[in-house]
Amino acid sequence: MSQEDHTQPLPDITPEDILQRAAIDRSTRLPVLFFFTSAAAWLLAATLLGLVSSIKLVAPGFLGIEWLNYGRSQPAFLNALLYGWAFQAGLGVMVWMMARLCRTELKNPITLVVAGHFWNAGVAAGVIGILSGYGTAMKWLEFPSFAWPILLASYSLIVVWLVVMFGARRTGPVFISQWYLLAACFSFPWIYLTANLFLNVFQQSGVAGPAIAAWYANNVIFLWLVPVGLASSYFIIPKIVGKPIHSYQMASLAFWALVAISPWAGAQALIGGPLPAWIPTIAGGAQVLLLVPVLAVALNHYLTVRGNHKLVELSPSLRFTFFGSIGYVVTSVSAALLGSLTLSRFTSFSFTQDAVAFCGLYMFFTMTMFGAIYFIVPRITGCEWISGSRIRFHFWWSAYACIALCVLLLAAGFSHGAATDTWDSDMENAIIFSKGYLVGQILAWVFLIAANGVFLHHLALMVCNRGRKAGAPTLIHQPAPYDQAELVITTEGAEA
Amino acid sequence: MNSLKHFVLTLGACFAVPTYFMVAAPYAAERNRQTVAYVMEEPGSGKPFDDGAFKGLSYPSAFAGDRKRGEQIYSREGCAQCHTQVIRPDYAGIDQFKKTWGKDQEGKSIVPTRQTVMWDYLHENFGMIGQRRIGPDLANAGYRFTGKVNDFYLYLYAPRVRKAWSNSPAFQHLFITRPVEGQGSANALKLPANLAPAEGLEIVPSSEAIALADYVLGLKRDQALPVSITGAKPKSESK
Repeated sequence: MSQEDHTQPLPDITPEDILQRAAIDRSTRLPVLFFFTSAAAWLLAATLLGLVSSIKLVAPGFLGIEWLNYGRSQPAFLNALLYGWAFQAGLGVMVWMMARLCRTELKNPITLVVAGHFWNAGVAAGVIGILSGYGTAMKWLEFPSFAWPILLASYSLIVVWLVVMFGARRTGPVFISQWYLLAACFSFPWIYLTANLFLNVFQQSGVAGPAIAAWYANNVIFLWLVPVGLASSYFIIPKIVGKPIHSYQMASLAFWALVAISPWAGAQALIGGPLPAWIPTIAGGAQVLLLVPVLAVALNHYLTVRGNHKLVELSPSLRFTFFGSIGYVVTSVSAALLGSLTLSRFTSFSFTQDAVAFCGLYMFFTMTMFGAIYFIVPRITGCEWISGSRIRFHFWWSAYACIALCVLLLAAGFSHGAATDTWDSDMENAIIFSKGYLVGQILAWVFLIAANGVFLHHLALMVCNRGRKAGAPTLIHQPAPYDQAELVITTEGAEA
Repeated sequence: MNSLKHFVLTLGACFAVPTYFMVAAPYAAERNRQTVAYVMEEPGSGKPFDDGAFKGLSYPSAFAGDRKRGEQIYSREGCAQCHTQVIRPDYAGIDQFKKTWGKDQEGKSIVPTRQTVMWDYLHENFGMIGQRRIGPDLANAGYRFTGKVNDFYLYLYAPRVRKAWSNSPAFQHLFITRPVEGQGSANALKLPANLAPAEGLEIVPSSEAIALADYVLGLKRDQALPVSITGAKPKSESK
């Protein structure tokens, strides 16, 4: 990584820079808006499926058709959230951010949109496949086996242009976000191809199968969601705060620690399972070691924002990103804890696993992506978000609901796991003890649906060019008059 | 490091080494795993070795009946979302001592259930360890329904008839409602009045439900292992 002096103040922006940025934004407009809108639509669909599956846990007869049985609606929800929303939101952010950071225009937006259609078709076919009873039992790979070549091919077709852009970048120091984005370009094809080759093509994996699936599911979080989310937060936090990253060396160290350690983790989900004991042991140890990059990233983010915490209150992008950064710490710490043998007797097969997965997918990644979308969309549409109060609603309802969901699922998991861990009771205690938390979970889903409905509507208005055409950037609150002078957020809004 | 080539090579090394150890090597080990024959006499000494009841057999035995199809249905219906099939050793959970999770269905046994080993999943396309344990463990579910296959069908069709607190989905799409012919099917469900079909009709399991029953009733992952796997003499209770 480059060793340039990053403590210098940022250079002044010249008019050429502004024109060039506008040209880059225009070139990425079509694919990025396509990915964001289809992602937001999938997000709403996924939250609806999540609501159905959480109702099914306490009222299994709800709606009464076999398509929505928990065994089908739960994987359909998770796969829709992951491949429908998370991947497409991430791809939109990747395309825009790579173009901006490499200072190159995107040459072939149409190819990306076509590949994006194939991706959407693959996800839709996969979700319908699960719901209609053709899914598999492999964690986070439940799509019927025809879906994965479609997804892999369309993903590769998209990211190959990001690598090309990186190759054609204007020379100069490479920013940490670019390394993260590049890592995400390569990591997903690697883990997805590996997992699918072994599980869907070679087959007959016996007891190695669940270990491979657990390895894949963990690495989707730590080798794809985390790089994309961190690329976004390393970009947005310095932009809004107007300061460079506190320590570039620390950022670089955290990056290499993440990519070197993460691929070892995952199989700790099978502690006590019929595997050679070294597999879950090494995996659990790696999961704990992953706290090193987490600490470095969190400290770096904190020190960058320090002194400007007022901005977290005002800027939508920064507030979502900041929340997402906290989510990253929470996800990693709880994932490390759940890999411990002491806790695993209560947590291995209970809702706590869902809590951690949801924490990574939502509290960290989704919230970070919201921050990025609030940052990017005004720039590529040329108009401002319509109302700060809608963003405020979106933030608070999402934040409240995803914290509530994680806490409730953790509590449900521990009570379920502890009740199962007594020798003479059947499952009655476990089901009755966890029921209250699972009922509360339904309420949180309703909140999420409301928040995501508002978000989709707001985004659709922006895409249809019905945003505010002029004026200051939309902030969550209007700053009070007396401190306005110091709190002009120069880098928020369409102009910057 | 500012060159794409170096970056890709370093990244590739970071990914490749753990992929070999965590994915490829365990897979290869499972793929090469063979059934193990029970040996009656220890080579050399000629002392009794495995239990005589297993003479001429290997562990595990091949899937019988429609079990392979049942396994597919088990996976397609998402049973593994809520049911595990693993008995963990005592340091990792209470599974070995859990009432009704082993051979003994009365909860009187003092013999712990054998923990599951890699050989137990040998004939499976994807070891059905499962993702959650919302319902009971099914590693030895075969004992629960031995000789009581109609109980299994009833659970599948209407889980709350027997256990009002159950939150299992009902799998009514795996059953057929048809007119009674002659004396009626031996497998026709005996349902309470509020669920019973109209007069002259009966509800019977479809071929999919029958295959699923074949699979679940065949789940007995506690058979005594050949000594060459365990490295110890089997407990005398298996005689």
